[in-house]
Amino acid sequence: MDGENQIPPSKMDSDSVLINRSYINLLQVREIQEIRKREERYQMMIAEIEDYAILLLDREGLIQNWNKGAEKIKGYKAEEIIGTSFRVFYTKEDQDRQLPELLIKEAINNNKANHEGWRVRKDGTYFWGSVVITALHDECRNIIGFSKVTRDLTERKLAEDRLLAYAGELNAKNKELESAYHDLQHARIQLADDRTRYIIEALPHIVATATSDGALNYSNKNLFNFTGLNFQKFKKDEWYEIIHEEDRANFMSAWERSLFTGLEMQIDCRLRRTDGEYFWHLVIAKLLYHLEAQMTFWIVTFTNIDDQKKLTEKKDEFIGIASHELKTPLTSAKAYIQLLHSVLEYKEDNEALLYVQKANTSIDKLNNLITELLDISKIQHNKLHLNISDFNLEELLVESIELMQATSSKHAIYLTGSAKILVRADKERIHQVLINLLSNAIKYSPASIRIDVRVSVQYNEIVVAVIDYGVGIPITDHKKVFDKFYRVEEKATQFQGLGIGLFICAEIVHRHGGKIWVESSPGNGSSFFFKLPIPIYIP
Amino acid sequence: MKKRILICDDDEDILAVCKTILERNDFQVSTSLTCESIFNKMPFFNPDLILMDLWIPEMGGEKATLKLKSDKETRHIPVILFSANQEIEKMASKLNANDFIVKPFDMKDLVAKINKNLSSDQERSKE
Repeated sequence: MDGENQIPPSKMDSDSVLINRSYINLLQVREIQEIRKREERYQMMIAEIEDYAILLLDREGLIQNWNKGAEKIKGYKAEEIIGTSFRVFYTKEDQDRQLPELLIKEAINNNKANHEGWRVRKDGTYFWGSVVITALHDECRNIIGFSKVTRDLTERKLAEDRLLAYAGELNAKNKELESAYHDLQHARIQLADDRTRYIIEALPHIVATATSDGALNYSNKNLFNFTGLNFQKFKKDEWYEIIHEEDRANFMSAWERSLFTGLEMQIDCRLRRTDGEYFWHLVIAKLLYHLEAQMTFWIVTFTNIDDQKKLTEKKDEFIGIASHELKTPLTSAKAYIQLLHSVLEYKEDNEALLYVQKANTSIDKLNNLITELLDISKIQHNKLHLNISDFNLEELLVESIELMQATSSKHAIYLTGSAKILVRADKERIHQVLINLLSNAIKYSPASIRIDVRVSVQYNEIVVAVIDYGVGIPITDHKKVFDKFYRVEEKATQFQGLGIGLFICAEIVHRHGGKIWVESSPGNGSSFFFKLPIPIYIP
Repeated sequence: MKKRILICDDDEDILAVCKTILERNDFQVSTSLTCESIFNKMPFFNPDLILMDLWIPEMGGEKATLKLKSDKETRHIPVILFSANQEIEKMASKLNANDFIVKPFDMKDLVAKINKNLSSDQERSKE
């Protein structure tokens, strides 16, 4: 028997196996104990967590365990809830739409399902739960259940909702404000529009607008009331007939010129009223740029200036009549004085002759004042007309100097330079300028004895200077002396006159296309120059 | 034989003084306060020259001059306008008047102008 003496290896093995087994068992037990301890710790940890409801569901969704958090959040005690379906936490509506089942399905498919929503506590109150359901698998990847972690985010949810509600309210308020603002803007524009329209309608003027090519597109009622025509008439360009026949051509050419150039038109014309009577109007048309519409348009105003025109006409007529009436007795006075003069000459009464001469000079002065008044009225109404003729300037100079020399025994007037040429100008008016400048020179140099007249002819200009050595004019007044009614102020009482002589001179020179100016300083006399840019004909 | 001057003016003083001046200068003078009356006077007085004021009422010197200058019988008679109106120069050429004199006038100028127009009238009639 071989076996007896042999140590069966199996026995030996079995011994060591035994030892090994018990060791392994010991190890396993320890390990299991460890695991159990660890599990217990985990479970304890989970059980003690208060902020989260952490529970296990089996494959059917039945609750397997319950922690403090779950109790706190959902209100159930462990013994009341373990073994029931987690469906109970869901609202009736969510249950009806199978939300619990859908979440489980999602967890099965994606291992995980997240959801936030209202959940129901034991007492029927709601809380906002944030839920994560995670599928749990065994080694073979079979699903053995689910973990479900729920947080109570009611506070956050409520805060969010409040915030949202607040934001919503804000939004609504904002919209309200916005619409109120729009209403206000609209009302303001409407008001401005209305006000502008009321103002335009309330104006006594005719105010109209036209497109850039001149077609009428708006007018206040005055246009229709005054003319008796309707809007269509104006649109059809038939309105020109309301302009007085004598003014029509002028008006049309001015309007066409403005339409072409875009420059302002300003013209006086008579417009026919609905009863057929004509009234003077000042018509002003201005091209404006409409910023919003980005286009130009004409604004046309018609101002009734009939009274003004008629008053001006009356005034001119009056001045005309008055000056004529004043000059009539002056004419016979002058004639009688001259008759007297010839009688006294015959009788050789020199003293009486001197007096008569003085009287004659006074009559001439009076006549000049009346003429000046008439002239100023003409200048103001643009009625100073020139009677142009060719004449020898030097002859006129000599004639004027002789005339003025006769009025002053104190001053000697010297002419230097030569102007033996024919000029084309209004002889009477240039004579008037010379007389005026010379009489001023005499008047404003009472302490001196000399007056110079210098004339020079250049290429196409004549310059005449009248130079005195009298009181002079401060430089600040050099331009003003040509103004109407200017007087060397402090001398006003010393020197007589209306102060319109130089104004008239300037007007006459300007009408000839010439220039008039003065060089002077107080105490050093004055030099008055005038320049006529006229074509010169050398005889 | 004295030259005959007809003066037409609505101011009696002017008529009187002009009459005196011209008579002293050896003219025969007839005066008229209205334009209408000169046409009645014409055949009897037969003036060699007419002095015509422009501002006479009624018919007016303007119309009277036009009438004189458009009538075959009278157009040869020189007409001198005299007026205080400064537009007189223009009016003279417009109305075909022979000359003009501005009021108030110088006595010597008046006589000189009358003589000048009488002599040129004589020259014309000689032609």
